[in-house]
Amino acid sequence: MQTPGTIFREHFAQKAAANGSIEIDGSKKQRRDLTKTRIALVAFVFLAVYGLIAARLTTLAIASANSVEVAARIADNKLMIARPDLVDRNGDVLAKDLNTYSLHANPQKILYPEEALDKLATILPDLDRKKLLRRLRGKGRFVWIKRELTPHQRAKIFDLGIPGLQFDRETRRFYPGGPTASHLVGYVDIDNQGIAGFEKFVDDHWLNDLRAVGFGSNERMEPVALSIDMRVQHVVRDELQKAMKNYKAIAAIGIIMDADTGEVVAMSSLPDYDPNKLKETFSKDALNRATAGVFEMGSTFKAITTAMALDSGKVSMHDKFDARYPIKHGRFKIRDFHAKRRILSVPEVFIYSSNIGTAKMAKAVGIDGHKGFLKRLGLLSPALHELPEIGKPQSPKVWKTLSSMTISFGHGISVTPLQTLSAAAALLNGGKLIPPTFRPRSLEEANEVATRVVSEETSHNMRYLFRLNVEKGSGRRAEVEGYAVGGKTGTAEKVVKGKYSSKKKLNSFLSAFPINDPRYVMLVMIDEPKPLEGQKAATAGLNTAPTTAAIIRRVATTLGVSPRLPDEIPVLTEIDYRN
Amino acid sequence: MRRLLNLVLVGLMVAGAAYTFEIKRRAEGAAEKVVKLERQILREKETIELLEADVSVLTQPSRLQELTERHASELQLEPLKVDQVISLQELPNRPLDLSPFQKDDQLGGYAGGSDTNIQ
Repeated sequence: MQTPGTIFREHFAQKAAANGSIEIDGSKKQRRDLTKTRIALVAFVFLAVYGLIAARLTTLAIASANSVEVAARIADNKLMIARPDLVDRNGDVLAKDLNTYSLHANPQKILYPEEALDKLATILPDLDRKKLLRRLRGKGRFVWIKRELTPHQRAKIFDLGIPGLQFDRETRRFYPGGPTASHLVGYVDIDNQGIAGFEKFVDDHWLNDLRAVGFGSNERMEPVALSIDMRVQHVVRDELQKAMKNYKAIAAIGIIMDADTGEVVAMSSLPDYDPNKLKETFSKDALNRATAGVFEMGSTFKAITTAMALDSGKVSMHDKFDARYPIKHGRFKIRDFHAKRRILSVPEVFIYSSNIGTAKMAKAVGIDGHKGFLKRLGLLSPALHELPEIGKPQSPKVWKTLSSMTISFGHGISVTPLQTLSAAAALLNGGKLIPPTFRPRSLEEANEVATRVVSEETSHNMRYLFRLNVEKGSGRRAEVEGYAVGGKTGTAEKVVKGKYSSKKKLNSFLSAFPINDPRYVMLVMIDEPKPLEGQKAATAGLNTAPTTAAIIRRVATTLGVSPRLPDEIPVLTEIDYRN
Repeated sequence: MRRLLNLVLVGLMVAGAAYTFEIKRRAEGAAEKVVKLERQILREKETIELLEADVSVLTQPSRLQELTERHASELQLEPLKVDQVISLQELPNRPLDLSPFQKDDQLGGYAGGSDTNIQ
């Protein structure tokens, strides 16, 4: 084992021996060797430094080409689409994301404000020159010049080459139809989040999930289709607007639904709003009465009661009910509006809209049967569909004989119009209840979700009654040449200060066409209509029925229902209904 | 000999440097072109989106109705009547294809004139 001390000593001993004993190399050679080593060392250091510089240069060259520049490029070239387009069943655009540009300036960088404004005015002629000139001459560093410019305008302003101008890109939701389908489509808030209608459905159901995983904002998304047809939607809205004006009504609702698939083809609730104007969407007009409002539907409910009575087997089409005297129940009296004061057959009860007869039909079925039937039709629980605005139906907690009787003619229960239409579709389409939807749905898909609520035979009888009511009853004004229309009127008295008012009415008309095999069902409601000049009353037969006719006349061919000559329309089995 | 080798090496080095520089310059040019094209594509896409919205606004049923109502009298427009709507089956048969007889082929002379495929 050597200690450091021994090594040291040995080293010096060797050196002394080498110096002292043999002296082969001269001192010149010794110096040359030293110089060589020094040169090599310096060369090595220089090489290392140059190598470092080269390596750094290489990394810089690669980095600038790959990460920085590319990242900037990608960030700049996104379309910034945050939401999918919404389209109708034919692919027409209902809602769309558009990129807009906002122009702002830094006054400190603008050398000649007048010249800059002169140039800008060639592209934006409506700029407030005085105000802007004052601001551009000021000491600020930020001045808005104009918001929401199109990409085209931006490119033109860019080409002017004015220094000190800058653009911000923003995404804006645009609704080309304006108010036409406002309640259906809904709207988004300032952050482009859907907060009403179908827009909210899109957010709730998959957009939020997509955003959470980080997709969604880079690529243009597949458009989402709705079941509505913009052409039909427009006609419904247009006719409702006319009706509101003619009858000086305060509100109107119109819904058309495919009887076999439950697809809502058109739905309008007036008054409405323009979803492009955020201010309007916060007014009370934003209420979608068709899905969120609950109403006492009045006589249209008699269709449901009649179908229930017929389907229970306890009442047949040939039965008769005594409608000579009002029904007395405690201190209440049930009277007929168009009293006939005689014994009426079932079809007569329907076409004369007899409260007494209908109440007696409900009585024949019994309270449990009545409640159970409405439950099966989905009228006692909120409807299930895509739109988030869903009204909760209101019915008595405990059903008594009186409640069953008033509910039979549509008082004492409040449901949404869409719910009512969906139930009516089930009574007329052959007996299948199909939940309403705002997305396209095929017949097969509809059959999967359908449940049978009444028999084919009952449904057939209902078609007959609906048709009879248009031929002979209160729905005569709903007749449209070439299209066999069937329908039921409803004139419900509105509750004013806790009492039924005889002046304020909510009129409705439930219809289907062609009635021999209904393709479409429709519900038209007019709130507080006033009589036309020369007319004494404002009953449903005088306003909602003609409005329905006007709509069918305009949309039938669009919906693919071709008109037929009177002798070509298949006749429903006739029943001798007269007494 | 050694000097020659050195000269060749120096020459190669200079050539290599020049070539690398050229390639880098070209790559930069290409990258710039890509950026420009991508900007252009973006602008085109934006324009397409905008034009789609324009089409939608211009074909709104409410707008078309306004236009038809305004020009109804000039263009003699009338709402469709029930008896004006017929199905394809209700159309009369296509006229028989008769070729011109002892006459020159004349333009538009006979119904279904030149179409000989359909019997």
